[in-house]
Amino acid sequence: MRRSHLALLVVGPLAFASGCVKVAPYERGMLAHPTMTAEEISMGLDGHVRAVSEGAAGGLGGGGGGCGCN
Amino acid sequence: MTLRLLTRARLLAAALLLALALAPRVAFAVGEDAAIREAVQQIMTEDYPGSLGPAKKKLQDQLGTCLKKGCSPAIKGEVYVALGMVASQLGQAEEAKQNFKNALGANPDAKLPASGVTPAIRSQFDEVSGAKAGAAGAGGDDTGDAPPESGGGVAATIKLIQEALKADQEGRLEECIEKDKAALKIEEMPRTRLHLASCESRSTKLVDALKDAQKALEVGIQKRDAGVMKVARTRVKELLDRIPHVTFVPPPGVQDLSVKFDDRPVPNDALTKKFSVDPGKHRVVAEGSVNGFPATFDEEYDVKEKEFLTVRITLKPPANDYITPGQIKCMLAAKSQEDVQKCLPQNRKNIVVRLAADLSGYSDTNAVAVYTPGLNASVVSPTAGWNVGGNILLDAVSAASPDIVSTASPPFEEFRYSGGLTGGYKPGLYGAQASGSISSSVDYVSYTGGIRLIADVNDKLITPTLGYSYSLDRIGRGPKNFQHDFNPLKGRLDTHEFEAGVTFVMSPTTVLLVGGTAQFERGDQSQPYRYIPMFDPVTVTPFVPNGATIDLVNRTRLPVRPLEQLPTERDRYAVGGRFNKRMNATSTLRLEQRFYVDTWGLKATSTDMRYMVDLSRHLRVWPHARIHAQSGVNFYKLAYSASLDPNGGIVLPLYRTGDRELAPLITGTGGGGLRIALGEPEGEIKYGITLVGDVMYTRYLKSLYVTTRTAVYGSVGFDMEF
Repeated sequence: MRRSHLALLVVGPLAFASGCVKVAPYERGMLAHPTMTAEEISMGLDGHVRAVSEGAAGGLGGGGGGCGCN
Repeated sequence: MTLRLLTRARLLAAALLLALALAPRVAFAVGEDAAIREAVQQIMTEDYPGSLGPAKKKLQDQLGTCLKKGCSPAIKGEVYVALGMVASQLGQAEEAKQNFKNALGANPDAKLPASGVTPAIRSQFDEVSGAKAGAAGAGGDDTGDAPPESGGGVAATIKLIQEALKADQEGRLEECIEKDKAALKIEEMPRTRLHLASCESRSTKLVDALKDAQKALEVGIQKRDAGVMKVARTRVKELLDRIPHVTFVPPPGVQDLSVKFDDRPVPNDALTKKFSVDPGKHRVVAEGSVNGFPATFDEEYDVKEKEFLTVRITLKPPANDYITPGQIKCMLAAKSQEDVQKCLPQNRKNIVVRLAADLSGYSDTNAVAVYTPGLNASVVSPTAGWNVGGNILLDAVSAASPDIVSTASPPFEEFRYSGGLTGGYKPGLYGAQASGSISSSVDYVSYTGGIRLIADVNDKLITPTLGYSYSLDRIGRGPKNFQHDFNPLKGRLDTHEFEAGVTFVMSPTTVLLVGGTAQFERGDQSQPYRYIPMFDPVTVTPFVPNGATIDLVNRTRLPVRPLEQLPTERDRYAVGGRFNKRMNATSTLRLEQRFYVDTWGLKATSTDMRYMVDLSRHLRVWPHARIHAQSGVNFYKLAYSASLDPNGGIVLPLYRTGDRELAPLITGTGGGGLRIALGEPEGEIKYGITLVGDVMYTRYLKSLYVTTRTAVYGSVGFDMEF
């Protein structure tokens, strides 16, 4: 991976951080809704089908183990 | 001489006595006349026409005084004329005419006054006096109340006024208002408008009464009708004193505030002004957003006369499944996240158990079908910060794909078992999560373990994570026939993966996750069952079409059937973002984007979207769409070439594969899902049923046997939490 890409990966989030709005604790009620979780929300075979039918892997949360399914 | 003097003296004395006897009477009559005249004028300006009952009583008293103590015929005539006017306004036509007759009887020169004469009064007086219709007289043509020269209009107006007066007398104020308004539509008459204001005032419609009294005053001023002006001024002053007022104190910082008073919108820039309202019950409803919360205000007030009500609008978010009004109030006063946490119910559970079961199915046009039942369980301690969980599933696979048929292998069925455990501990701002899983089928076993570190910084607005996992895959041909037993390099794949991510709270309704992974695969992951057809490089390879059939391939291929051979090293990099936005307090938009590259030359982009809508507290639905596009790996070919070397051997391409997932392709997926919450969302035990389904269409841009694949897959799941 090029150094420029790595730098963007590190600097980008920091740039986001500096631009965040200050959200007070009592303003975060909406964020508690289950649909707002930052985690992967798919169920069933959705993730597995994507893993075996697409040549790409990873990105958010990692790829996990294999199964030799393709 | 003396007798003459005596007679003259007697005559003078008699005259003197008569004068003396008459003088007081005359002086008395003159004084009484003035008092009665003044009283009648006062009555006809203050009580007429607004308070006809009292006016009549007072005039009758004056008449009694006049008859008892004596008054001039002119004055008597004036009193009778006034009584006649009052009787006419009361709808007592016969009594009116009798009074007018009495007036003319007392004073033949009696006439109607210059103001206060309605058409009915004039008509009745003229009837009695025998005056011709339309004659101008001392009564004059009171332009303030003169009807148009239309017989029908006059008659209708008179009738309406009489009906209004009658309704007033009988206490039917609404009918009085209705009749007076109808009469005013025909002809604007200030006395009728004053009567209307009187009825409105007594039915607590003070604002309308004030408007009508002001209108009557305005007309009275225009027409220089002193009587109307005086009464109207008094009425206006009285109403101004009685009318209650309302003003609003809007909440600070609410940009989208909307306020309604009795369902009528109040402009925001006028909220702090003073509004006149009728006494009685009123409702104030306001809406707006407070720091991202949609909030409302709904209150009813009972406003009394003369009251000045100040409505302080306090917007409150409504209670929902997750936050109660009490918790909101507590959180509004909280200064830190820890204080917010304390706002949660003190009797909250120390342990939360979640169990789930699901059944999934997959089928595609390559004759692959998979059925996967699964179980999932987790135990979480929100107070102590630890969690453990596990899952197991079974893949029942049936496949007769073109690859298998093309190589003359029979369709196969197999089962894959998979299970995993996870556990974590995060007592405060920092924590760790560990996981392990195993996947096992007759010819493929994979072991994975990993750990992730989590931190909350900047008052939990930013959550960075770092993770590492290791996987060991063993690839074989049948039970315990692992390839590395006879070739250490084959059939073993070691994967090291590093992941990093940061979650940002962008606003009260927005979360952004950005992250990336780097995977380093070492080992030979070539499939032991995948044989690659070879073609003559000159006469066949350039002419093999995309989607060449099994027959065509078998007829044109070379007799060699080498196995798939993949590079033994692969570095894979992916970066992505997940954007969640809560919209309108009932729906969430989730967008994902991923970019991928690897050292095999494959580049890909994936975009995913879900729009989750809470149709009710129990039902959530969402559409789902995804698009994925990738280039092929740099060693992927539609048709591989093999040639003979000078020594008679076969020269094969170093790397060769028939795996379509390494080919250039585009996949579009569409579907959706729904979740039904059974029972009450705040109940002790929560149940839910989830249904999801998708259709996936793949277009292979460079592939033998098939160029497209359509797959349908879905799941039904049941979960409970207690």
